[in-house]
Amino acid sequence: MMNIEQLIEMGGYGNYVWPAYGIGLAVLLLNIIVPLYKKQQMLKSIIEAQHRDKKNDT
Amino acid sequence: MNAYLAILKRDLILANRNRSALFNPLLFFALLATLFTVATSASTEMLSEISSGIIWVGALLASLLSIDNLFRSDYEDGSLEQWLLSPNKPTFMVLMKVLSHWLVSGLPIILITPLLAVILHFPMTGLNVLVLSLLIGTPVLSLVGAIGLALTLGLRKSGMLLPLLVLPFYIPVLIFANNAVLISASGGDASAQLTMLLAMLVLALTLTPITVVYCLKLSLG
Amino acid sequence: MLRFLHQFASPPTFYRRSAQLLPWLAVSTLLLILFGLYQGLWLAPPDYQQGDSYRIMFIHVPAAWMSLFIYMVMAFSAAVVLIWRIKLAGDFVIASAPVGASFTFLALITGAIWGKPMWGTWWVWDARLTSELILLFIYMGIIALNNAIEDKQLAAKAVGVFVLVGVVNIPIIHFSVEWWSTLHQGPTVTKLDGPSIHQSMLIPLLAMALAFKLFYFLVAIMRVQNRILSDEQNKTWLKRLLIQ
Repeated sequence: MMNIEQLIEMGGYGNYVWPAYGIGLAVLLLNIIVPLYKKQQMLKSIIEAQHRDKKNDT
Repeated sequence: MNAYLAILKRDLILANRNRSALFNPLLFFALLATLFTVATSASTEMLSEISSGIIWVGALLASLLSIDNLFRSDYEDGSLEQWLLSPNKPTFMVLMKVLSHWLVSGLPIILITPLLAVILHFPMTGLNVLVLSLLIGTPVLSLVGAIGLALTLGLRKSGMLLPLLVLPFYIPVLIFANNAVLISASGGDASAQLTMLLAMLVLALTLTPITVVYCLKLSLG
Repeated sequence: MLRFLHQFASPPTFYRRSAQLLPWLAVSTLLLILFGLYQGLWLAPPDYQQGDSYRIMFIHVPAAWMSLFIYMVMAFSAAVVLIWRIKLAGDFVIASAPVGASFTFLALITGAIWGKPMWGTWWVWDARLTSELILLFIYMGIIALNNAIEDKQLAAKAVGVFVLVGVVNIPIIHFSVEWWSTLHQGPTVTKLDGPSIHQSMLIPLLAMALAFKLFYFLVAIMRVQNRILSDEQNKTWLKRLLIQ
C-alpha cells in the first residue's frame, strides 16, 4: 500500500473488502460486549442479594 | 429374540388397530406433491426435473412428522422405562421400534412412489435408483430421527426443536440420494452415490441405537 | 500434570485463575490483530489474479478455521463431560457454542462478500459452502437444545451427546474440496507438503488465526465465568471473593 487512498479503494474492491472487515469487527465486538454486560448484571444482582441478606439478618 | 419380536409384533398390531391412520403418511405425501405443483405452477419439463426432490422431501417430512410415534406413547405410559430396566438389550429394542416405525411410515411411501413418479412426470429411467435410494435412505432418517426424539422426549414444549436438531443431518442423505437419482435419470451409473448411502445406513445402524439408549436414559432422568 | 489440570475442574480455582489470565489474553489478542491487519492490509502486496479483494481472506480463512477448531474443542470437552463428569467441561461446551456460531456465520458471510466479485455470485450450493452452512445449523441446534432443557446438568449431557453426533460433519467440511469438484478453492495451507502461499500473505493469515484462537478462549472463559457466577451464587467462596 502506498497511501491512505489506495487503502480505502482496495484496487476497486473497497466496497467489498471494508464491509467484510466491518462485519468482522461487529461480530468480535458483540462477542465481547454481551458476556461482559451479563457479568456486570450478575455481579450487581449477587451483591444486591448479599445486602438484602445482611439486612434481614440484622 | 422372542422379546424383541414381541415388541415388533405389538407395535404393528397397535398400528393395525387404527388402520385408517396408516394412510396418513400416504395422504400427506400426496398432498405435499400437490402443494409443490400448485405453488410453483411448474411446467411439465420443470416438474420432471424437480420431481425426485419433491418425492424425497415428501418422504423425509412424512418420516419426521411421524417420528413422535416411536417413543411418545411408551414414554407416557411408563413402558419405555420398563424396557430399559429389563434384562433385554435396550439397543435391540430401539432397533425393533425404529423398524416398526419405518414399516408403517417409510415403506408405504416407497411402495406408492412409482404412482407419484408418474403424476410428477418423473423420468422413469431413474425409477429403480429412486426407489433404491428411498429404501436405503429412509431407514437412516428414522434412525437419526430417533436420536432427536430421544433427546427431546422429556421436554414439554419442544415444538420445532426436534426438526431443527435432526434436519442438518438429513441434508447429506438428501444430497447423495438426489445426486444418485439425477445421474441415473440421465442414463449414468449411480453406484458410487448409492454406496455412500449404504455406508450411511451401516454407520447409522451401528451407532444410533446406543446413542438413542443413552439419550432415552437422560430423558427419563 | 494431571493434578495440575484437575485443579481447574473446581469452580473457585477456575474462576480465580482465569480472572488472572483474561487481561493477558485480551492484550495479546489485540496486539496480534493490529499486527495482522497492518501486515495484511498495508504491507502485503496485491494478488496478481484477485487484486486487493483477496485481503478478505485475512478474516474469512481464520474465521472458517475457528468454526472447525471450536467445534473440535467442544467435542473434546463433551467427551470429558460424558466420561469423567467434570461439570466445568460442560460449561465450556455451552459457552463455546455462540462463539463457534459467530465464527461460522462470519466465515459464510465474508465468503459470500468475497465470492461476489471473484466468482460473480453471492452463493453456490457446492460441497464446501453447503457443509459449512450445515455446521451453522448444528451450532444453532446446540444453542436451542441447551435453552430448551431446564436442568443444567441434564442440558450439559444432552448437548454433549448432540455435539458428538455432529462431529461427523467436520471431516465432510474439511475434505469437501478434495472429494468433490467445487467452486471453492482447494487447500493451500493445510497440505502435507507445506503451504503454497506467499510468505507476505502467510504471516498476516497466521497472525489473525492465532488472534482469533486467543479471542475464542478469552470470550469462552468469560462466558464460563458467568455460568459459574450464576451456579455458585450462594456459595461462600464467591461471597468472600466479591467482598475483596
